[in-house]
Amino acid sequence: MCGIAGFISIPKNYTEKQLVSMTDLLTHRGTDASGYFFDGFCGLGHRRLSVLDLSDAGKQPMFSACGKYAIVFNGEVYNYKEVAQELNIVQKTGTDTEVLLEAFILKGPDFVNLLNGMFAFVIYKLDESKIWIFRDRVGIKPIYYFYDGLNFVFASELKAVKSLLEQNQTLKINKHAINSYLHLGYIEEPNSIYENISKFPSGHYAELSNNQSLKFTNYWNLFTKINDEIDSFEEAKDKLKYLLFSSVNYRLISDVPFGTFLSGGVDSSLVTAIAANISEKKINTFTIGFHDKSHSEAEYAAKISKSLGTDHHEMILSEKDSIQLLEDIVGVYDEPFADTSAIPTMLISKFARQHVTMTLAGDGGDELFMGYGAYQWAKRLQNPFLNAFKQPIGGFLSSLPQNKYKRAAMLFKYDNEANVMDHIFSQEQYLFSENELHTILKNKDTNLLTYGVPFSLVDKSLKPEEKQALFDFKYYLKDDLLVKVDRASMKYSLETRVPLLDYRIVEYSFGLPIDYKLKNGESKHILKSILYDYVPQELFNRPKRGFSIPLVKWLKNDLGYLIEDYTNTQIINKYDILDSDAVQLLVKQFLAGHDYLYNRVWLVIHLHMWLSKNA
Amino acid sequence: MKVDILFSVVIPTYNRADKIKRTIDSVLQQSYRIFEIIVIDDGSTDNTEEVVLAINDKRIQYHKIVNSERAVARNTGMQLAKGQYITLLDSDDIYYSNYLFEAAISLFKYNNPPFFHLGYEVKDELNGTSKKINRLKNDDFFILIKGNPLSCMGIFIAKKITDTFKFNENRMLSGSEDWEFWLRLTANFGIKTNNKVCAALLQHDDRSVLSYDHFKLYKRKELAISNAFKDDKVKEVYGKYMNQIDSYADTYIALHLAMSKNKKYAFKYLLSGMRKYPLSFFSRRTLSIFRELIIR
Repeated sequence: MCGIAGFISIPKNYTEKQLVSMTDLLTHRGTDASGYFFDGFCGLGHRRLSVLDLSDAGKQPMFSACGKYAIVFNGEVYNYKEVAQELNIVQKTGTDTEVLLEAFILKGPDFVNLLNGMFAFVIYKLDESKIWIFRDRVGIKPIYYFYDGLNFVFASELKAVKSLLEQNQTLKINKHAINSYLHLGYIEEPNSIYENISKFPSGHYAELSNNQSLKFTNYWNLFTKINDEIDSFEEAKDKLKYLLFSSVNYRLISDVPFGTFLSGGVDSSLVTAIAANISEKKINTFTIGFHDKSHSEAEYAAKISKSLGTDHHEMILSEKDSIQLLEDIVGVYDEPFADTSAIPTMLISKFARQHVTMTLAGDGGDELFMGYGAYQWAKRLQNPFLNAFKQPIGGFLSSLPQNKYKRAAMLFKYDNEANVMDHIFSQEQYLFSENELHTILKNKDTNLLTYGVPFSLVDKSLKPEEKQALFDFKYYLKDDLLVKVDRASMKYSLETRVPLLDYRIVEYSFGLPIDYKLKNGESKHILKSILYDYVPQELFNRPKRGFSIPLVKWLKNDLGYLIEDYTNTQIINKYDILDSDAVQLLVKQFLAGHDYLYNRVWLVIHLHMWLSKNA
Repeated sequence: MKVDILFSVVIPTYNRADKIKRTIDSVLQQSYRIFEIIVIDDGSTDNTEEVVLAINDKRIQYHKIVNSERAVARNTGMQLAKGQYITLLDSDDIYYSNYLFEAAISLFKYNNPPFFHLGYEVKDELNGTSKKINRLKNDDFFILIKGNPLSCMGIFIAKKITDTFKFNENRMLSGSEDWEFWLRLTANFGIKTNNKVCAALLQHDDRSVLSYDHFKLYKRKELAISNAFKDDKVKEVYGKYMNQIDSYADTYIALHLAMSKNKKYAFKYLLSGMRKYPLSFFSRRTLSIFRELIIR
């Protein structure tokens, strides 16, 4: 697992020195080694974190046996040995990188369909100055790029692309991206905060030769893979259990010490239980907790680890640790990113890295198995009665004094049925609704806020809850959760693997009948029924708690200075994106006890923090 | 614990150049991709070799042996197998694309049992009818008492037991060598099953040209039973059902003779079967025998 960066430039605009300096910005992603290739047109840079074949044989950029191709690769392909066997590739190294390159040469770019893993890689054909860019199906590993018809620049993180471009031009802020950020808390693929830098789309590869346009191929699209062939619950459980074991088994391939993040919730406990079941060695588990019990599941994690017999490591966070990192988010995530659970994720990564180089995490379970409250809202809002009377219901609820009703009221306040999914998401996350954006945005321009989901490709009739889950899979999971985990763990050179997002599990779970997932109001039913085969059910009889920080409390105490520094009239007017009066009103209401506004206040703070450092 | 298994698909073949490509393709199209294919050419005189070698996939191995018996070809394939499980496929039948995946799920579920069976259907390609073999129960020894519903399709045998357990290669046994082998395997290891239909045994017109010699059938039965019962576990498990096994074997012969219009001997074996176990009269087979003898 690593960091990659590079370019191909017909007018030879970039130098080897620039290649080295852009790659060096990714040193945290791979501290073990670095490697560069430069031939005048093309530069490929690589920072290596050794996880498989720790010897120098795994050094990148790696060249094919025929010498005509070079590759830089970030990620892991777990089934590389089988691919090698299937294609009769005789390996000289113990790395997946070598298999990727030789398989590509044998089968062409469609070979990517054979891979099971998380990856972003670039292959360069030396004698034709031609490159191919690949990204994994779900979008676990990142790749950002710039292309103007003559110069193509790419990197694992935005900062590296930006640093190279800034030397020749001024980057323009993408206004639509800011709207998305305020509404969703992140910027969705393919956009980035800069107008001419994009996120390379997941499930795609692209080909680029000479100065033609990038030729994209969508090699995997979940929406065409959802199968409605119905297995009985018992059959489905057997199949899912097998897929989970197979997925975890693949992801335990490693030449370095490993562990799992164990939050105490269903997903991480299941991943841990299976890993403990497969591994011959005792596994390490990592938990962090807060002194504030309402935000901490550490005590449950400890009980689960005891029941599974793992080597458990627990760290209780101080507010000081967390607060310091709040400002670091700007540098780590490169673009405005409002998900403050990045902080515990960074802290647990740092903590785990003291013991291991690789961890497994439970990400994906909520989207795949109906774990979020948003899915209940999706169902409720499609109820004909509630839908017809949403205006008066919303009005009534907001007149009640309690914060929870005010938040519920917001869920009823939307105008456009087509936008109901992003509306529900924004209100579940306490972010600005489209209506609120009209007030808070200086230019009032919100008509770019559309988030398409290709439901028509799905060969099954979908319930509102399922649509909401697919919306989350396409946007929230990829551009928030997976970005959060990748950047937070790679900041400390820790590789994180996400077994629940094996594409086989993704395809299968979205085809399951909804009542296998939501049963009598209980979420993740089928997943829990597997989990309870390994861990006593009593340990999970409690309400779900998110992996969140006590931000309301902090903003009203220690972090009060952030409100002063980043929401004052002067700074709001300086960047001229938000309406200063609306911001002042928001802050006033929050401080007067409208706690449900905390994340909106954070959006404003973080945006201006980002602008102060970048604009 | 073994999660992802390497399967060895053993395909014995003899002069099936026109059919074997479709058979092999059905394996190459499996959604579960960890497998090897071992084709044992039992001395074909047609262009089978050419057809197999023309398929460009490194997972296929082709071995030609001197024409002997299917049992020899299958044993040879099992011996060459590198997988943890061996599964068999005749060169005119096909797997559906979920065959190996469903097997992997069940083998995992039952913690890698030595002997396992997956559902299949017998399909008549001419008239489009099919009969599903999908009602087997785990460790149900009655499966083999009345006949051989397993045929030689959907069978999975753990490689580790194939040093001691093999097909009996006696030529006289040909046609019942699979049943005899399953008796030994079930008696020693039980059998786990998954009834999802994942393969098709295809019946073509040339299978219906039947002619059976009653004496050979009789010898075949005697040999199969006596061989199987040399195994102590078979004696222990199946001993008390000896009459039934013998009886159903007789009615099996009766049916084959009826199909080749040998009425006299067909009746003789039917009676002999009923004498050994009168209840065998009330089986679907008796009905089939009468249908062959009277209606056709």
